[in-house]
Amino acid sequence: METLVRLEHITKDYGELRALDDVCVAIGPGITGLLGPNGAGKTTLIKVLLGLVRASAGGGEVLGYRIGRQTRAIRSRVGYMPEDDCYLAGLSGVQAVRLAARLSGLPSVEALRRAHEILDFCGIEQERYRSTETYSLGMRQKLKFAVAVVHDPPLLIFDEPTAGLDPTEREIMLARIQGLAHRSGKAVLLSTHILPDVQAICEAAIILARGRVRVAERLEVLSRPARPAWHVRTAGPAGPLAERARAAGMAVRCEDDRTLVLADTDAASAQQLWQWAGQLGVGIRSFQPARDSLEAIFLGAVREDDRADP
Amino acid sequence: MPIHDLGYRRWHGRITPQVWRWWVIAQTGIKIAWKNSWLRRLLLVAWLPAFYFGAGFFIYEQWLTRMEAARAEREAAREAVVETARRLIDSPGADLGSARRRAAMAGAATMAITAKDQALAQAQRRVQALLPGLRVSADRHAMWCWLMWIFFRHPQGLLMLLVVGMVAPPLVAKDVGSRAFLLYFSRPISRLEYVIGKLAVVWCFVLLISTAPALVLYVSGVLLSPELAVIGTTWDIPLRILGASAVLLVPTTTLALAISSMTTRSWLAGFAWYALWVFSFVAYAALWVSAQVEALQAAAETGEPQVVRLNEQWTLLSLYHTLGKVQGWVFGVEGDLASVAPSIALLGGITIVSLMVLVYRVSSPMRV
Repeated sequence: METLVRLEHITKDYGELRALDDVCVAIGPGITGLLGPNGAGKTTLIKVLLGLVRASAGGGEVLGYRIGRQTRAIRSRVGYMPEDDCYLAGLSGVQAVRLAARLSGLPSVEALRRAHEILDFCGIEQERYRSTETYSLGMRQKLKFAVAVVHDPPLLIFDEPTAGLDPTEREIMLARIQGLAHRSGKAVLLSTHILPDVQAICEAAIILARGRVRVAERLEVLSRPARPAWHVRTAGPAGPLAERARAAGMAVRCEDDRTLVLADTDAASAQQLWQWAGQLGVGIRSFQPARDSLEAIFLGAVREDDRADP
Repeated sequence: MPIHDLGYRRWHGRITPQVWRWWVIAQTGIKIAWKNSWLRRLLLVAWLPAFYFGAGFFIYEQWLTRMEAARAEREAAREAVVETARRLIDSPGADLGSARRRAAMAGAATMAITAKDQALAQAQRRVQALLPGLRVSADRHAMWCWLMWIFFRHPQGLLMLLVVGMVAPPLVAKDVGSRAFLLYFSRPISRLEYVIGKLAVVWCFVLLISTAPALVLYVSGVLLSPELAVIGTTWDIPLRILGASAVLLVPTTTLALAISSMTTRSWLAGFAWYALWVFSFVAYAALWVSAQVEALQAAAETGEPQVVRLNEQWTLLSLYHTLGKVQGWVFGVEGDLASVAPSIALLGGITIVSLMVLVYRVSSPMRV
């Protein structure tokens, strides 16, 4: 797999506080989720990538450019949407996006054309002529998104892009990010607290806790349980089927009245469930390998960190 | 969704050179500041003193022309008297009556010219009495330098104070308040380029009200003078204007932006800016008044007028006077380098400390 971002033993100290501790990670194409509890070091990691803060130790590359040495080249090729509620005061939406484009090197007229194009893409319509100071939080999120993508960078870093958005706008924002990654070939690093967002669109996840990388893997691999398990959905009540399986010595957990999870069960044993379902007259709607939820993975990683370093 | 929405499209175009990125920030700042109608009015008013001083140049050139004409007439009359006397000596048999008449006329002309000279000198004294400190001089270069210094110091110095107070306070304060630094510095922009861009906004307006009218004034002076040879004697004045502009611009704008960077509220930065100038001026004025009172008391005791003596170093208390002193040195009308060195050091110190504060404050949102 192609590596776009490679971090090697990055450490960042703010006085006595160690924000990043020997971070080694590689980020490839597609959408990568950057997860972690508050104060885990996600934003610091992003700032180190962009050269906004200097790492105390370690190094790495972003799109082939050395972190801390080729900062301008990195910033020219990275679009960053900060978490903070920031805006360019005194400017209208279109002026703000145009300024961002010009700062990235687009010529004046081209920057204006591109600003309008991107604002259309982001769903900012007539509001683009209003001062950014009058924008709602949701509008500012969309504007920051527009500012991040206006210069068409190959790597996009979004820090909490769905914060402050209503459910509809959140869906649209996630669809936009997904579209950028899948249709336009952008690599995306998505830093967020919202696990369903990561589960919905990310292909890989990095979980940070206390400045250390706890997990860095593709979601497909991450969500595979350590031991084989099966997720079964039934057409009617699943209780009788669960009782039968328990009686046969299987570890069964009912998620709700129509969903069963057979833990620690190999494929051959699981096949018996079909026979029991036929005998009991319970229809099976779906029968597939169970996957760990991202929430479980996240909590597992964070708790592991707590246990390791109480 | 608009019907022309084509979704996300790639951009393949030419990237502008990096060296001009600061100018993008400056242009944006200028456009925002230009929206302020009070600033536009003030800029218009700022050109009025140039007309007043233009009239001063005109009157001075007229006076100088008359002085030179009077001098030429006197020389001509003197030559006529000498010529008549020479003829009387050379040809004693000539028409004595005619020669006497010519001699009498030449004598009368000499007396008239002397009277004219005296009248001009009296006019000069009156003007000097009206404007203490005015040095009406036949030395055109010295006089032009002096007029330019006064132009920079009094009307334009005050207008600079007002213009900078209107333009500079929101420039960085608003970016601090809106946390815009992350949007700027996630672009290929250095902190220095950001600072230069912001400084350039203020420079632009101050240049518009000080350097531009001063240069126009110089060109007007050249055009109003009777001969173009004046360029030969005053060629260095445009350079002095640029030097005086730099003295006015650099410390004041860095100081104003440093103040702006220390708050998120523009009005507070504006207040601090004006308060700094007013308090420093008042401190100097208070010392000057107390020295004046002491001199008056001494005069009352001794019965003789006393000269008001104020320690030169007290000038450093007032930014306004310090700027004026260094500008006076640039125009060659105020002291020598040794006497203005403390003022230059103070302005340099203000500039360096202000820049340090500015860069520190601009960097602070990224440190956490």
